Amino acid sequence: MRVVVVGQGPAGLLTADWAHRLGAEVFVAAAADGSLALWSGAWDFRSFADSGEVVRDPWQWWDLHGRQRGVAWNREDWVRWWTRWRDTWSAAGIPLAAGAELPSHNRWTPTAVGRLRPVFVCPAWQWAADEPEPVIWVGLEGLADTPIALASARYHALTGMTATGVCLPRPDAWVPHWSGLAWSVYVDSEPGRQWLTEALTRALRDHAGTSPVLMPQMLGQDGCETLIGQLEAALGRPVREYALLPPAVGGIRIRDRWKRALKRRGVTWVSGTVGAVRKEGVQFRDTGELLPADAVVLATGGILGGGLWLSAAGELFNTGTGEMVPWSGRMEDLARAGIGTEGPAYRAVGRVVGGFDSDRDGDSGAVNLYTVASAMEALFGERTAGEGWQHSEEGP
Amino acid sequence: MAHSDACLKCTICIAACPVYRKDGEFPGPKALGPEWHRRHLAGTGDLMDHVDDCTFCQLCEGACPVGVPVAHLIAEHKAAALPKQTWPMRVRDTVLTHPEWVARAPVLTRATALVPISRWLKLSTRSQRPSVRKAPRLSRSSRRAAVGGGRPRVALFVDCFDRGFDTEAMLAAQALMEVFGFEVHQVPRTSQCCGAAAYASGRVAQARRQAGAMEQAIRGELRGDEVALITLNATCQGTIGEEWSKFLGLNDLPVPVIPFHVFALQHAPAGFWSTVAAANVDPGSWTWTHTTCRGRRRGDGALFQLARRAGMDQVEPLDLECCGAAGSYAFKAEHAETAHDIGQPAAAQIHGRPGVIWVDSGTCAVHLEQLAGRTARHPAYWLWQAWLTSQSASATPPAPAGHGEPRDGGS
Amino acid sequence: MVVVVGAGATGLGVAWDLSLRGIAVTVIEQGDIAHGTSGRFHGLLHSGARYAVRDPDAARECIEENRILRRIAAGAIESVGGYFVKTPASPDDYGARWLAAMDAVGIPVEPVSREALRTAVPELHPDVKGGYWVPDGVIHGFPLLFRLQKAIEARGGRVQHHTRLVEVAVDHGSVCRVRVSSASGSEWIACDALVNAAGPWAGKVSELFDDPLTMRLSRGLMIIFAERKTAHVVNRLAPPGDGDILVPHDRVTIWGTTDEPTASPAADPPQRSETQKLLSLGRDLFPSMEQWRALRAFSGVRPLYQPESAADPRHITRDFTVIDHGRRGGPAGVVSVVGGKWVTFRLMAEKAADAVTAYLGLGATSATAETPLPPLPTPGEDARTPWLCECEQVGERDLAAWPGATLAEWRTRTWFSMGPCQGTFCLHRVANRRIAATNLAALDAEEVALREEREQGMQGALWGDNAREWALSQAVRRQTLGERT
Repeated sequence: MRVVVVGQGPAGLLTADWAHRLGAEVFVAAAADGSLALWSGAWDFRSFADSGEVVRDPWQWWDLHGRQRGVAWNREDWVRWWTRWRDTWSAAGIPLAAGAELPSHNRWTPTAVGRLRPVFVCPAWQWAADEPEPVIWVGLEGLADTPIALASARYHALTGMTATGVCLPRPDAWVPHWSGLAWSVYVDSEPGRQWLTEALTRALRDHAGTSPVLMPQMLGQDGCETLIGQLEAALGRPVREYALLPPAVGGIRIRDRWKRALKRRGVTWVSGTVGAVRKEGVQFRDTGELLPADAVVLATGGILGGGLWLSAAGELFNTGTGEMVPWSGRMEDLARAGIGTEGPAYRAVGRVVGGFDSDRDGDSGAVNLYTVASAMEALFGERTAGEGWQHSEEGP
Repeated sequence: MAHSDACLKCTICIAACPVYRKDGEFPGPKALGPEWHRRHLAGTGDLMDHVDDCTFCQLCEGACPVGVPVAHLIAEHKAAALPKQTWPMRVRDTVLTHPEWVARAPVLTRATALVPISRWLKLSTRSQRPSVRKAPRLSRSSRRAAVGGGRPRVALFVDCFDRGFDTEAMLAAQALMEVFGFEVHQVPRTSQCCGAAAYASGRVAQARRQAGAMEQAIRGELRGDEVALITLNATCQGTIGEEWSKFLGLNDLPVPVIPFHVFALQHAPAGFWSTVAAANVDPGSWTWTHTTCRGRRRGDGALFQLARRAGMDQVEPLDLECCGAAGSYAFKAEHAETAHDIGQPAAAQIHGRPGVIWVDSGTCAVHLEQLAGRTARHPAYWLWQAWLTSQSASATPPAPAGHGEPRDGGS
Repeated sequence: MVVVVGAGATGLGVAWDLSLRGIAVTVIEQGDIAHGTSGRFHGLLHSGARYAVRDPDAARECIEENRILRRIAAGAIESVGGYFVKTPASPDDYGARWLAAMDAVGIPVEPVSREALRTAVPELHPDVKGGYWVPDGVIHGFPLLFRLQKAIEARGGRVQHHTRLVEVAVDHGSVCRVRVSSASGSEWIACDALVNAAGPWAGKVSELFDDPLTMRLSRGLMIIFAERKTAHVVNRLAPPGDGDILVPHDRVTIWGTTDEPTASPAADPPQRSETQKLLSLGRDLFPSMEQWRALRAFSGVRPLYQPESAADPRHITRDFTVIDHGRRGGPAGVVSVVGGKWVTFRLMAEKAADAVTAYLGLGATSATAETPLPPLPTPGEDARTPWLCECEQVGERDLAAWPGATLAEWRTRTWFSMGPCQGTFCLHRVANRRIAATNLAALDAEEVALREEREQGMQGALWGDNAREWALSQAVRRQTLGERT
């Protein structure tokens, strides 16, 4: 079976990965890079209830409210698919934070401005804790996205815990346009690694204790685990990152590792904007070329991802098919607009599906997992139960 | 330029930029492209340092979710900065942006091996110069394509690199397509450039002139019944297939423009693949595939499929989005270090394992070969070698490939 | 001492004019500088061509003031020139009438061929039939007003913003003091005269003394596009109507406008249905306009005034009126200045100041037409700090030039958050520079207000890539920064 996945955000890559594991020949058709590079890689499953209150146990929340939202899974289903997803990431070399092997509740991760947000699954390099605690909050001189004055004040105001703000002076190599990603490039170099170790050691010399060191997310592009280990050894404290604005180094690490693994397994990428989906495959808009497929999965994203397009006349379109998508026309309904999980010639996964307000509620991880798993069940049926599931790194 | 105003500031282009991810001085595609351009239109777009460090790999443009022509806006920026170039750089770039001259007299590149000349011209003394690989006459008998008349026709685009340095690859591609059952003729007859090199260096007007002349030549030489124009170089492929109409004001050619390896996957008969695969060329050796940055504008993975289909023992894609060669980029002294750093991960990945590299661009092959210490050639060359091996191994040649055979759809 | 109500172009212009005459002034402004109409216009420096046919007096004033502003406010004016473009829909006879009127008023005009027009403005519709060049320009309103403010303060005048006029006291028929209220409480200010330059609020202000004005407020809508889409102003060669002008304004382009009566002096935010209609009116001039990247939409309220009733606001004069209330039975020493155009603010100010000086019995005359406005100090060069706002290239030094400013004040003074991302990537960076001067709760409120202000404008033009920008902004706010409001 040949599966064409349209889009390469988190839902698209997960679809490609699983379809390949289930024995399909997989093509990813994408008009652009996916959204992974925008976000740190922390996945939320359900952070806030409709009332706005923080959800402690997302699985329980889905148990109680899932059916009203068309999600019929019970906890065992969640755990089964969640475990597959974790194994998939693990096989691609993306490590989860300790304590996230099978999370039972949301934890807290601080944002760059000192707010806390609930998070269910966190890559190993990012800071997440059950309860707020005193921290060393590190900022970088010349990196405007590490507002330590603001962040440490806010962290303290919100948690009652001290956030000791530490600002590392900029190295000689620094130039004003350095983003978190450019800083990562620097600390990937040997002089950069030395500079960071020395600057941190010097800055923390007068701070007794073992409270964790929260670093901006710039601890290297690919070798961050090694660097974090070295820093922890040098400082005698836990060292973890907090997420920055895009370009998000955490998401870039995930993207790079995941795509590398998929390419080595033989998943093929085809660039282009899909403008039509037919029974026999997808058709590219500019060239009119047809990419034959036995099954098509739209993982094109919502408004931001480009799977939905709001015209000047106020009409909403499914960009993958060119079809109009019904919505009320009211702004407050836009975030929930979408195409559903199934069309005449495609399955849909991720944000394009609609029905959820993931930015507000914090449930994009659950929506991705549920919609991708549902697509797998629809396409592969019994095989998803375990027999046909390949965990080896070799492709079909 | 269409969509020049669409930028969301999302920074996905930055995350896709191979130079940004190696060179801390480089301001990145967002700053050099759309942000500069927006100020430029308002008359306040001061030229920025390091704009010339862009390789024109166009990965930023391929990554952009809203279709901003990021790389082409940077090319406009480069064009605006041309007057700042020193004379030796102008002389050098004049030569480098006329690869059709070099193709006529490839031995000239040997002169640049003389260090003083290289230094004056700001040519890299580090980058290996391509060696000239003139094909020995291909043995007619080995082609096995003696199918009668009425075979479908393809035109094979002769790029400057292959014309000057690697007629082996070109003739291998021609022979293979004849084996596939096609009649092949080469275009253009005389050495010309599609404009890619000039565009990459910010010489947009020159690129337009070169492209226009090349288009006239190709149109004049096409016979009208070709099913495709086949390219061996991803950069020329992108320039002719995409940039000509989108950015250089030309009309699309009357035939689809297709890379050789994609054409092979679509049109080589199943019998060809089984024959080649059965030959089991070089067991135990690795085949690394690298789709060049410009090739990635079409996608990634087709080369990998090609090598697998041909039965290569162990196939692995190089973990590189761009190798750093970027046409003549690596030959410029000011870029030598960045070009080296960008491609360096290939060496670490290969790390002592035996094997060869399949790559869809001649200059990238030269660069990768130097970096990784493994022979790097165009897939047409490798495929032809495998075919020759299979032919010498088998006593009875396989049935000639018939065009009417169903395509092998893969899997 | 003269109290001027309103720190828009007119109010600051009056205060500047009086300052140059040696008269002490205090300006009272309910919001920030340019809070009202002066901060909500398309930025056109009229040549007068738009009004030549119907309102020749206003047109004459426009061209004269156009020339004066280029002299006294260099740096805040872009001399881009404008075109009046004939489309297939242009009325056949209008061109001739317009040319005759232009000649009568004395506005320079040059015919331009269709080909030359298309070369100058490549985005124009291929069916345009040629047109005329006129000396239109562009005013950078905010910097010009900040220059006025600094110039007034340099001469000892005061500008109190976020201060509202709440009471006008009259003694023996003449104004003697006013009570003002601000966050720090209310106070009485003694004054010899009062100038009501409150723009659309002039009617409300006039209710505080006993001579109410009946304003004819008219709301106009504008759409901002993210990039400079034309190098020159483009007008439709037709009687004034909706959707007839495109103005390049620094790095953006503004398309306007509409004209509908309104009772509310506060400009009601644009509704999508309105902006969609305005956008569709651009098709016959710029066929690609619907694909241009919209940035936001906004509305402004024209403070029109006409003693006699008139139905259609576009028929009300664009000329201005100076009302000496003492002469028509109201309190002596109170002068209102209403109507007019941004481009004629200096002349309006001069006439209002003339009325004030006449009342005060002083002989001084206006010097504003001959006195160049001092430029704003340019922040020192420091290439070693990062941009905080990358779209508009605002750095620490730009913020430092306005010490103590709130986020909202920094926005209009440094232009941060005004570019394509509308603050998504820079607000938290700028907020970090503000925390030292305020407390967290106050800063949170400033952030929320600025986010809301930006989002309101974006929502008015929420289609295409701007809708994607909006979605990105939502995701960054809620997911990356953890904002909950």
